[in-house]
Amino acid sequence: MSSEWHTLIWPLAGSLFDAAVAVIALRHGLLRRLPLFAVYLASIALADFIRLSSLISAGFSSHFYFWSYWVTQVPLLILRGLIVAEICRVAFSKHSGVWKMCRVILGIVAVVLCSHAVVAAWNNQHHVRAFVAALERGLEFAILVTLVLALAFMRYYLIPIDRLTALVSAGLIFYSAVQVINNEFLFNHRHAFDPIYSAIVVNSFVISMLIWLVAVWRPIPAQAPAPVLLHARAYDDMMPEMNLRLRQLNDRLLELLR
Amino acid sequence: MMSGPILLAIISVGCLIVGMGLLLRPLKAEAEFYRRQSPNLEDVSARHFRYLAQLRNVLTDQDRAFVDRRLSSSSAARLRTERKAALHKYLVGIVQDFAAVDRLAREVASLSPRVEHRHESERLYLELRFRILYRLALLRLSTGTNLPFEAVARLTEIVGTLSREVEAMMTPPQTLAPDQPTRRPSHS
Repeated sequence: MSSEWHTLIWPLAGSLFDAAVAVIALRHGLLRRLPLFAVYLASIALADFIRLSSLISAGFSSHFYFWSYWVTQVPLLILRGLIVAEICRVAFSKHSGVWKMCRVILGIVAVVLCSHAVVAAWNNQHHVRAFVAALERGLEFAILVTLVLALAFMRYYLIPIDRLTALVSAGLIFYSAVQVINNEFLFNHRHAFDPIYSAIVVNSFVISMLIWLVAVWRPIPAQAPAPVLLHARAYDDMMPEMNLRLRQLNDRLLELLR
Repeated sequence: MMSGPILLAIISVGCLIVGMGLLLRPLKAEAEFYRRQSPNLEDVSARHFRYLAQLRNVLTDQDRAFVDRRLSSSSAARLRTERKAALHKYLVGIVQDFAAVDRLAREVASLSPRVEHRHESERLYLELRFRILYRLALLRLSTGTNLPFEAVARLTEIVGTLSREVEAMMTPPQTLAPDQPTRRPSHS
């Protein structure tokens, strides 16, 4: 009996922690600002409950627990991908011109990487665990690349990122980066690195949850007002002229080196 | 013993990191400029090109015979070192002028309801090219080779013209009619 409780205590503590983060987030108004992320936090708590119930009722090595774990993993993974789209939409929403351009690039990158993930998963359909693991690996990579690229665009165009979006992005990037690094590099040497490997994989999600807890700990303020956009003509008038001058500047700099 | 493909991969990654660093890492002067929260008109106007006349002596070395005649060899060498340092500072100033213009271009794009791929990709290319060329110019200066005065003068002229034009353009954004009415703070 005591060994059973020993195996249950960590999943139980983790579930309570995830549920607490979800409750705090919903109470502090996350649903208004990032509805998909709020749904994701609630889904984690729900998935934890389903997994814990199957663990208690059927045991760790049962088929029921196995299926409940991997089946709940897929919607969570899809939600994580959708959160990236939500972050981009919220961050770029006040900068329509840049958003129209960036969404094409981000969309192409996301579609290519997701297609690659689906093809990799399709080639591993002999076993549900291998299928979901391959899908997870590919989609985490797609999430990481798309989100980092979106943040690079925001930085380049001096688009301010509020504290909530920054912390939510940080949690997503951290978790995805750890998963990608583990899957790509440590997986082949997992016997040699077993304790480190498992410690990183297990704790990366807890660390992400802690980052998200910091993000939602205080009541979430309303979104900052949108900046006044310039007249479309201002861009059309200025940019060709500026680029011409920058071109000349480059040519002159090149002359210095001749 | 490291196998061939692993060594090749390490070298490729190393080259990639160095290449990306050269391309993407902002110049030191650019980074210093960006650290400032909100540059004003004074930042955009080219201040550095005002000192071009003083730099003529540095670059052309017109007074070399005079300096050699009147100063001791160590003092003359020190003077030349200090002049080279002044030229270096001058080039840093040019980058700051460039960064001011570049930042304004990004802000205009960011606040425009419509941007064009063509213009944005061209500016990005020019920016990356400028960083590489500028680093090469600094390298050339550090190896002891002097830079031709005519070329520096033309470079300065371009920066000056660009800055004057941007200064003129900076006035309209405050008076331009916004493309759409100011949106109320969104609470959704």
